Amino acid sequence: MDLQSLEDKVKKSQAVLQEALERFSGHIALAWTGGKDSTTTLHLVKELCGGQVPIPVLNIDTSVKFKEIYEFRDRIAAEWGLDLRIERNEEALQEITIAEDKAECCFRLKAEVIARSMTKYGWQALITGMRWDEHPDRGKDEYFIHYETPPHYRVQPILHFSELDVWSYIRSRNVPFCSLYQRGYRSLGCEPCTKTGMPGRSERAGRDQTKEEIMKRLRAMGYF
Amino acid sequence: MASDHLPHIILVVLDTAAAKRCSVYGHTRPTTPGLERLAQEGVLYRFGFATSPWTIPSHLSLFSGLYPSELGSESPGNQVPEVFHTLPEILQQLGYHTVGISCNGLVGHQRGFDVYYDMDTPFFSEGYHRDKLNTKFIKRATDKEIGRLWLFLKYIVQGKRFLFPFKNVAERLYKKYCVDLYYKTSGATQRSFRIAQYLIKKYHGQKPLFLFLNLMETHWKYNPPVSFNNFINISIQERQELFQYDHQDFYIQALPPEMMAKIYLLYEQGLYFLDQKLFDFYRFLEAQGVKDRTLLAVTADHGESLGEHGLWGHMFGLYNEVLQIPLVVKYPGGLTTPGESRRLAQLNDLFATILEVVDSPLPLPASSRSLLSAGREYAFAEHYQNIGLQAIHKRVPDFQPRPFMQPCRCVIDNKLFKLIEWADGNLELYDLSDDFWESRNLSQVPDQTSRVRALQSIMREKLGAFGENT
Repeated sequence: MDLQSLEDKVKKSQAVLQEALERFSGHIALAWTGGKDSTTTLHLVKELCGGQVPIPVLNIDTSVKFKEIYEFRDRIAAEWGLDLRIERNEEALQEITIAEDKAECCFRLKAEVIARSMTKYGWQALITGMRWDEHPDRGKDEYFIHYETPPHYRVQPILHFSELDVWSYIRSRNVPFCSLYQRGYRSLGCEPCTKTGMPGRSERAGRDQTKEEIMKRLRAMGYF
Repeated sequence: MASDHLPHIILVVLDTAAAKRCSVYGHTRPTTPGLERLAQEGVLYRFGFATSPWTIPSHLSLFSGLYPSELGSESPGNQVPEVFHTLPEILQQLGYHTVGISCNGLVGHQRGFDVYYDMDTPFFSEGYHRDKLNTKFIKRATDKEIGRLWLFLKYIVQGKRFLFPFKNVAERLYKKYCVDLYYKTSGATQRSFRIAQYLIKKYHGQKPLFLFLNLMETHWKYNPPVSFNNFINISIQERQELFQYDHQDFYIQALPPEMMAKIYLLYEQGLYFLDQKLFDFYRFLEAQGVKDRTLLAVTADHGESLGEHGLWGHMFGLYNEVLQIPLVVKYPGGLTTPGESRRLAQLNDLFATILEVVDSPLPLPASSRSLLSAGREYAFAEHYQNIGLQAIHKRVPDFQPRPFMQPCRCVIDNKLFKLIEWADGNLELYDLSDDFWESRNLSQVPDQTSRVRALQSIMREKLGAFGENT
């Protein structure tokens, strides 16, 4: 299928979702962060299923999300009648310092929670809002991708959407979105990492060198 | 909007050009006849205000639509943080070819520019500047010189970019011996417009173009060509005598008033030269038949104090000679009726305006109000980094700061009442409809107390507590 228009892309996503819902009937959930991508995916399911979301919706609570995200989550869950399963890693929250080691923090508070939830609820598949253009590594992902630990499938129905496609979809269908996007944020992670920059980004690369160059230019301009 | 219907977007920032000194805004000397002609075919925004009195935070606001405090005090230098969109990034996603041409080295190469011409160059070729961008990663990749050389050679050989190293050496020599963007600005201005013309000819009919230009003619040291002498006619030698001083000298030692008068006229002469080049460019757009398929916005990142309030430059305070900026937008044909708008407007409103014109589906930040939609109730500006005082202290460590040498911020409401709040808690209130150049501080007038409190509360709600941002 040649995916040129938004409607072509929506049809493709719905086809992927239809297949997933049939294939994993009764054992599938959707991961929803409250961000634009997973909300778009959630809405696609809702549209496909006659205005209802007939599957559980997993929300991972790291305890340090923006308050606006929590408010949005709770409001939409109520309005859309979602079967919302909020899961947190309570042990990890006692053991680690949030954002100190970003890789460990994400692993303990997110990846571990997903793995435990799959086992706890007996889910065989998890629908997510991943897109190819989010990161070069994602370029090879497929719509159905198998994970080992625990064994399950990730279903990624909006892989082919670009960031603009997501917003075009949201605008065309009047899909609600978190108010933080109207404060300029392009993606919403946990608050500590979102406010200081992308997690895992080298501080030296981004910050120190740039400031050095700026000071040099300020001096050349006679400011110092 | 289909890409073949997208207009070209040209955003011209006249660095440090004060609206106060523009004849199109009422200045007595005819400094901007070109801008007056442009304004006849576009919309002139009478009350346009910057978000900051200096380059870096102003440009970050322009490229993100956000105020300096929203971008965070942790903002890494002169780049819009990755958590926020940039204007060139969004336009790039919409199908624009995005190019930045900056004569000011403090304006960062923001995410989303396909090509960025930084601080004058003899080479117009986009391929050369892409190579420069593509090889920037090398410095970050390793500290070892041998490692950097290896990566550089790998890039050259794999991409067959064999001319790049020679051109790069030539450019470095050119910049070292022929360029001084804080002194020899007129050549850079003319070259910048020529590059812009080259790109328009190249891309018109092929791809919509987003072009950003920053021009430094009105930034100290004001040095227009000697042939432009209708406001001041002094020899090169006399200019050299003036150029031995910097803004700090104005505060550290008492510079003679007659000398400052010449400096101020040189500023206006520079503005006139810049205006003429801008208008030549506008006539080029007309001759190429692209004028009515282009959004052309002409503005400034901030203005310049030329003696007002005892100040020279743009390092201290948020008075209107620094805050009010020229803002003239020539919209694509048929979009609006030309004329003058008296709505409250800000530099970062251009972000939402441009995205509305191109029908971007992204939600617009609340801080950026499209000039084509409902007006804003308040304008804000912030100045937290006291680099002016730091510069003075570097030369004179025991220099006693004057009252205005501290962080400050302000709010202007749509009735044109302006409240300035200083870091030491002092307040100044002005009725701009009656006293635009801020000579009568009304903050202690009893019947203005409730207005002062209300405006302070608005500022706190929008920008946070003062201490959070310093």
